[in-house]
Amino acid sequence: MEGMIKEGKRTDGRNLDELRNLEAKIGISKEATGSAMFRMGGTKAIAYVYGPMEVIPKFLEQSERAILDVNYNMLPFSTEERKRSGFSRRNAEISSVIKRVLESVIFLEDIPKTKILVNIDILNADASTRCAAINAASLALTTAGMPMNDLVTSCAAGRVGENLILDVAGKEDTEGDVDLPIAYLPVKDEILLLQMDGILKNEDFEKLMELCKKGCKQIHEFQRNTLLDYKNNFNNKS
Amino acid sequence: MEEKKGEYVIVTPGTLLATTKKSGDGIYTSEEKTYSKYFGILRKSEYKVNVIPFQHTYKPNREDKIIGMVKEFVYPFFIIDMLSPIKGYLYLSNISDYPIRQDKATKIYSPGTWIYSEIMDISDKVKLSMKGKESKTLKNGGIAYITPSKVPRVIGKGGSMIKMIMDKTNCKVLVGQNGAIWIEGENLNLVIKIIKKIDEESHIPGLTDRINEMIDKGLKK
Repeated sequence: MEGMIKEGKRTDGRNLDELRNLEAKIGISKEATGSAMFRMGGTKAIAYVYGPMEVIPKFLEQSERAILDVNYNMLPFSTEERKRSGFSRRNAEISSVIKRVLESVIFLEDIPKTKILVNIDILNADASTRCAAINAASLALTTAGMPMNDLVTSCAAGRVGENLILDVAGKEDTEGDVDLPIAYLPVKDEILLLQMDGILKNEDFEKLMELCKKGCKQIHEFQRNTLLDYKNNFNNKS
Repeated sequence: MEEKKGEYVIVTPGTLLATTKKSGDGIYTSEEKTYSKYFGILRKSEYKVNVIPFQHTYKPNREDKIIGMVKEFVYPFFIIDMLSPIKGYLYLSNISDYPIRQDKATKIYSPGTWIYSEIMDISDKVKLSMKGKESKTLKNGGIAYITPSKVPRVIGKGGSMIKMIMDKTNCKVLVGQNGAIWIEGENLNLVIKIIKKIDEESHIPGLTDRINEMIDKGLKK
């Protein structure tokens, strides 16, 4: 495990506080109201947003706010070993976690009596899939014209041996000691999601949080630039 | 936190717009600061800050004139699709000042008919009325869509844009505030293309000139 970090460099050549390669595409589907793809290294997520639409069945409708439905799905070919398709407890848990994050970002009370459907698929999994899913969903919701507080961003940090690292990937995730994904709202400096596997000292935890926030701010800037580029290039084409 | 290109500024949600509390549409205030709510175009005036979203769904307001499609009849009302997640209801009693028989009304408002109607009440259900002078059923034409927040752009200052389109293409154009546009005339497909162009490029200055060029090119073909 110690061999994973040599002279301050990780197995994939990154520094300890460096993110993986980021890539994002917007408007990948014509049918959806808003859609986006987000790639962090080997982890690739696509998100589709439909709505606001009518609530069916009617009894689920809320007169003062919209309801949000999030489906996170890891596709069978996304992992190294083929994954069984269909319902899994992991998918259900992550769907509900992402739902809570997005609920505190969108102004649901602005669009009462409606429903917003967010479908997220993981095409390729290489650690921190929930982070990529949140980043993709955030872009898709923005292009779908939802009223939002800010672009929500997410990234993970971890510990391998004594080293604290940003954006865990590959073996660092499976063989590392600690994995800590967060979702962060830069405008309010608010943490919307915090999960952790493993054991950490208090001071290490605080250092990791700072590292995560730093990564999230970089991703936020990247998301913003992607959106602005999309609109500018789109106009040049037409 | 602003991107400038020509005269327009694109903002993303959470962009800081002012360090004081401002009023306007498409914005929110938090801790004495004003932020953008949508991904859209910023319009600033002396007292107001507005963000016009690129993508938006229609929110019904009283006295709005809308274009909708009759979906079905469920006594005592017709259900109208207003291109919004919220349905419109046209009661038999709101069709005319005079009593109208049910069988006659269902013939006029058969499913799939487009109507130009006015919203009279939004308290419980969104109730429509056909009693206004301008309200009518729409026949022999086509429909085009635009984001509701861009409807003022189709009409133009004092109706300049819509007048130009109507004069040049010899088409009748009727704009609903919900973003549905009814077009009657020979050059129907050209007008649909024009409206699509307005939807995509409404925020770039010099739109009228470009539309003018497009109409000239389209008519030559």
